[in-house]
Amino acid sequence: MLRSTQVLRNLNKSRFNFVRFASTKEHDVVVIGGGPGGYVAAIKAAQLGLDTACVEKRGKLGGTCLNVGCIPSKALLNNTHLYHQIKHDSEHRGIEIAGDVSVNITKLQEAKEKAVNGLTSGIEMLFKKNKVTYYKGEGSFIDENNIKVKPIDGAEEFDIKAKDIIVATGSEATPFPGIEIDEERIVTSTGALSLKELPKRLAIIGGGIIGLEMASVYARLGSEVTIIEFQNAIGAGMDAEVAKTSQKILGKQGLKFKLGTKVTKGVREGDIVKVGVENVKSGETEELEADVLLVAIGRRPYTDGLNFEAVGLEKDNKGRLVIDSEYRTNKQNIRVIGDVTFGAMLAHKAEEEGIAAAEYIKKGHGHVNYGNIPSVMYTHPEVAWVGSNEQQLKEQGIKYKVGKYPFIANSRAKTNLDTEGFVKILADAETQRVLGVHIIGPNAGEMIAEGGLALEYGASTEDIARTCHAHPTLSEAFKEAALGTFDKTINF
Amino acid sequence: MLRASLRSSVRSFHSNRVYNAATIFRMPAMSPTMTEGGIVAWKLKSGDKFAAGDVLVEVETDKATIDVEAQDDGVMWDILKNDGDKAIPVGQPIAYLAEEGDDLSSLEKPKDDQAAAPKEEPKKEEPKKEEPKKEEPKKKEESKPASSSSSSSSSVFSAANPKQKFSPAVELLLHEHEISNEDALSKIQASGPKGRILKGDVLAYIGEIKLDAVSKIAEWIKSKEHLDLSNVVLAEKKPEPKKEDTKVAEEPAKPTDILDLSITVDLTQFDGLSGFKSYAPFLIKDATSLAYQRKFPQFSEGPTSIPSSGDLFDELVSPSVTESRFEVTNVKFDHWEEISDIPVKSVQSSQAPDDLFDEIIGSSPTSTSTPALAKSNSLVDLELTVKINEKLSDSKEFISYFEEALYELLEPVEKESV
Repeated sequence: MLRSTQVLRNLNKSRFNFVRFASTKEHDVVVIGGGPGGYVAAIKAAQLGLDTACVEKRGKLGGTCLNVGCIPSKALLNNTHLYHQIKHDSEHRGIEIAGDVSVNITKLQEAKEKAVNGLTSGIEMLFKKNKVTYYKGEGSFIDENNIKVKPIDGAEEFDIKAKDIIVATGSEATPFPGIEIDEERIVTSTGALSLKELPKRLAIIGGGIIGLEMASVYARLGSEVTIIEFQNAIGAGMDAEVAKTSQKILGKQGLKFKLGTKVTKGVREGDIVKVGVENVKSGETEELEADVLLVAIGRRPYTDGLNFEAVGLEKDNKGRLVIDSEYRTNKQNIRVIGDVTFGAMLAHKAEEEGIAAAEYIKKGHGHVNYGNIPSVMYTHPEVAWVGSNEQQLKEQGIKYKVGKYPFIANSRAKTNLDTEGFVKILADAETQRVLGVHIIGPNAGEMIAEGGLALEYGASTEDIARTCHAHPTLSEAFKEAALGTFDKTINF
Repeated sequence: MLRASLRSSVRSFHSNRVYNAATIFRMPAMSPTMTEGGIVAWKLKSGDKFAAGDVLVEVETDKATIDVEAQDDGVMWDILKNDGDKAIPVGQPIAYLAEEGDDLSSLEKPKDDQAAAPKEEPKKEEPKKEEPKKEEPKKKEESKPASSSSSSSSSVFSAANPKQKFSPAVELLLHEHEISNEDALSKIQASGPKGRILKGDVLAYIGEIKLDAVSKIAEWIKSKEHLDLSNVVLAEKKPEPKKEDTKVAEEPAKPTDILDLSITVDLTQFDGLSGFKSYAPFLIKDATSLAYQRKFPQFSEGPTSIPSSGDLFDELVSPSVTESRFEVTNVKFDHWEEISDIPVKSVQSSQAPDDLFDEIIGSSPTSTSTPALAKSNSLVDLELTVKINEKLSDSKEFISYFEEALYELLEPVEKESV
């Protein structure tokens, strides 16, 4: 006690020194949020010669994506896939495993953490390299040029001043009305990525990308997984044919689907969760038991602590901060990018917007092509798409041609003994311009980049078909599918 | 309200600058589905100058009211459609714009080539587009085919970029039809990005498909390149006007989460009353951070010492440091008769504005219990209201730390907790 008093006294004295010399730090640009949108915007702004700071309260950069989203889930997906393959898919390849193959969950999580920590600290390095000032704290608006930073270490709050402000506060998992998340038995994706033990039974509300990826991870490890989806199809936003194929393949892997089913309750009772479901059509009800319930029904904009009301920024009815086509809010110097505003909630979309917002500030123009933003689901096989799907083209009354090529006819897929899925390319019936690319198959997520390039340059399918693709590669299936829209495929 | 920049209309206006002709400002298509709109209000009068970024006009669609901004500097010459005019088809002229410095009296009004052009003449496209503006040798904007005027005021075609390398399909097709590269670049309109000739453009040029087919698909693709902000529905304003207000309103009803502190301080330690008043906000900040440090000692040396947490799960289940345990509001000084408020900038919420409530809280309990002290010139009562965050289990602990820290820092004459 005596000692602590002494410390306090010293602090008391130093107070007056601080008061005398403290002044508000000023920056050209302050980015609130250090996720994939925010940190990219900050680096870009700094590279454009602007004095830039980034305020982040998580304690680590990289946002949801890097800390509790895309990156950790990919670590788990890849490693569980390897495990599953060694265990169930090696004998017929001529690989015999002597002894038992098992998974050490703790080490599996450690491998994931290592990847995450390496990447987050990598961004801190990039900040240093590009001279971005990093404030570890919660940023909230005082007025349209001043932001209060509340450091996460409990140190004293301070104000910073900025000419331009970019808000990139991201999103959070949408809660399910009536179901209380404890991140232990009833979890969001965040909790699902850090389960300490394997749930025997995993129930998932939501058959979107997050739900299906987590379903894959735990099914491979041996969980009995049930996916409950209100819609009659999985994979929100996928081309219908691809969604159906994906469901069929995932079903073969042991996932159980309850489509057209709504959840009526989800309560934890001790160590189990009781989930009430009702078939939307028949009204039939049922009660499921699970060890863990994952709520993955989507994400919603996150603005906690931002105090955006203080500067009069507006939200729409879905909680998104309202912007114009140059990401400006009703305050000319405040821009908003990423999940907290309009458009698809995807890391790479936020990144593009971060670059564009920084460029708007510096140069007055920026560019994001919203018609060319790919989506990827990292199940096995992967699913990836870019541009329009068949439903959308039909709605618009656009006449199109379909080129489809199955991986079973692709030499590389055959040699890999990994032949599920297909490439499907949609092209305008008259001009042959590529309108959409939909892939389900091994490595779809990498291959979709070619589709993006085709869309960006306004390529016709003939342009793709006349471009040399290496043999033997999976990408030959892409070329053949393009060929199929206007001519006959060669190998199928 | 929405805001949109109108690049296309102003770009054509820009290209006119040397020819001393005005530019037609057309009803813009603010969304792919918009077919007509109304003028809510012009923001300028005829003759007014404007700069890039200025709002020219407020346009109303069936979904929203949108500010249309200028992309370049200029002068409003003549307004054709007035405030309140409704159901103006997209693409119809609504005003003439001029360049700054143009002699408005001698300025030529451009012909409305878009409206005048009869539909369904895609093949005659090339010669026709030259007609309306003979004085302009080269212009990108005017190459828009008449048949596509229905959906957008901006064209999907531009002159071919002479530096391009043809894509394999285009090159082959040109070769097959014995079209030289020079001819292709000068005669074929490009619908691709940055003046790229696409296969469809060549197919239209050789008459294999209609030009309409090219523009239709190109326009649709173009419409998808932008975020659709035409249908923004603002959140309904909540009945409670402000966070601070509701907090104050709740406080009397929930007395359990509030702690009123009153500390009598000897002013001789400080620079009199005014000195103490200026010190008080820092005092509260100090006590607050000391309270947090007591629980999270690893943070006392600054952010660098934050341990990289190995377990994300732990982070999730234990309340994070950033979660505030309490808030200090209503800081008052009771010195003689004077009760004065100071804004507590350092602490979360701004000063509570409810005067009546302030008076209740701010009534001086010490003056009755220890009148002698309160009357003394060298003493002051520092009164605080501490609001406890009841969501977190350890909040009360923090408050006792906070209280202790205050005492350590102040060496008060007496202590009173209500």
